[in-house]
Amino acid sequence: MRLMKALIETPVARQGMLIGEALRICVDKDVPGIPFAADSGRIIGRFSVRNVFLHYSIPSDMIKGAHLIGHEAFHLDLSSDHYEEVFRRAIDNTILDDAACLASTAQITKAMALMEKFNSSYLFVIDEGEYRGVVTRLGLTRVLLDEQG
Amino acid sequence: MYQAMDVNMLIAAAILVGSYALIFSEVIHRTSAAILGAVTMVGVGMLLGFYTQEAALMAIDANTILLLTSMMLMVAMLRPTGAFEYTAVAIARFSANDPRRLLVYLSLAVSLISMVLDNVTTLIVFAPLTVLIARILQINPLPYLMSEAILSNVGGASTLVGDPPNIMIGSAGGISFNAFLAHMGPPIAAVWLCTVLLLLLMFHKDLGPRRDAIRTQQFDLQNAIKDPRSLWRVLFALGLVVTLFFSHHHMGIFPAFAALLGLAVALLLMRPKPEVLFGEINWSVLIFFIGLFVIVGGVEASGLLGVLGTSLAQLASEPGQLLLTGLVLMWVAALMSAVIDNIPFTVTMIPIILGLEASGAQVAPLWWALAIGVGLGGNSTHIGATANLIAVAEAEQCGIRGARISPLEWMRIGVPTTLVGLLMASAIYALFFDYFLA
Repeated sequence: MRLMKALIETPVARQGMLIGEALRICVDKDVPGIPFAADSGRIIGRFSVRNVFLHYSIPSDMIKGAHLIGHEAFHLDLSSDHYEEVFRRAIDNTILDDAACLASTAQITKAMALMEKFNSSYLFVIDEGEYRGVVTRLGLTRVLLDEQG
Repeated sequence: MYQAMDVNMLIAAAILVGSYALIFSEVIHRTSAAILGAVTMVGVGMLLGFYTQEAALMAIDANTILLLTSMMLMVAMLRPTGAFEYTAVAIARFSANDPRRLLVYLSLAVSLISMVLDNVTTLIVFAPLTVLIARILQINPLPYLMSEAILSNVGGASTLVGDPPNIMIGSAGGISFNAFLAHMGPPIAAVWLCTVLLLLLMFHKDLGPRRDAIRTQQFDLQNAIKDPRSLWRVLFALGLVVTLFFSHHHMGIFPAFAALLGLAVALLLMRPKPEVLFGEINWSVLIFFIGLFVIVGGVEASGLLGVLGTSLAQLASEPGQLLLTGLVLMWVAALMSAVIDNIPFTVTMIPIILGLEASGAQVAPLWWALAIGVGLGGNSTHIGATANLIAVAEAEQCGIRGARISPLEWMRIGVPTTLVGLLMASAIYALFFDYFLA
């Protein structure tokens, strides 16, 4: 149960929740994402901070050519109006369907391996269908470091 | 015997038409459709006795497939070095914030690269860079994306290796790289110049002069080249390939082997990870071509294309009729390429022209007419060439106001440029017809 030492309890995202609300949860809890649950309570996807920015704020051309943007390109940041408009949207279009989950009894190495497999830095802990919280790579690293004193 | 051959021809033609209908309908992926058509042709051909497995394998033009594969691998090694990024950013800085100069320089670079490398790959790399440059310079990327796609198609039409149909035409007609460049270069250069002028005219509202001077620090040129050592090595191998292209006919080697030789040098110098490098090959395109070769090989084996060639031979028997036939072929090829994929059309036309040659007709001008038609025709619609679709997709997803290219917007620019280009090419073709007879 070493995994539980790194557990961060969070609310889940639900249909109709605003992007701003979901982002606020992630920021307050210091997690990169939270699970997206159906009305039945079952986890069917995830809300990811990274994906919101990919979806609404960072054009693919800028990602491909990020290293080519000089330090005097001053007008690339999007306006606060843009972000205000994005944060007022519902999260529904930003949900990813590849929520990586594991049980609280799983070992840290398995958790790390799953993160690599899903190219993610966090996982959702679910025991017998019940959502427990989020574990992050940094949280697990903290557990390992704390155990060494 | 004659009746039996007729039945075979009809069945082979029905399989060809059915396969092409499946390919163009996009009900299933075009490569899957080509495999289905090829397997059907071989199976039915073997049952009826007009096609064999051996003949099907012989119908695959290995020169085309190996040349395409080699060039794909060369591009796959060049791409991560940052050479394309460096070129695009250097052009942006060199244009000194003049939108017209930027359009001409970017289009020229894309055209020149497309003369040696696959223009689809060129556009895949250049389109996002173009949007980024436009974003930084606060200009609309639409004119640049469209011009790059249109002019890369035009540029690619000038060389043997610039466009897959050219590789097929050159391979089937036994045309050397130099002969191809010598015959296609002048008309395509004239068409290119004409197209640039027309594009500048049609986009003049978007390309007005800008007051603020470009700040060179808006672009980071120093970080563009990611791996200089690899870049020089690939460029060396690519230089070797181009040199061999210019001399392959003197040395008695196929263009495919010239490319393979350069590829072998590049592999030796670069030592890339095979699983990464070979994953970069566009297998779907190669298998699609193989499927088409097998399908058309079956039609040829049925005797249908020979009969067609014989009946068309009288059309090409006299110089006057030959000129007319060439012009008709050029415009029909252009029209077909505007609405459907130009590869199946080219693959089908090649054995017909070879059939004409076997009937004693002088077919050299028909190869050039076909190459011009399929090379230029795709520019008139957004679906006419893969490069066009890449430009449209990049414009769509960039999110810049006014950048979206609708099908009508494409035709507003594409149809006049294609028509003027074809008229220019037709005039040169007709005026210097003796040259194209050689």
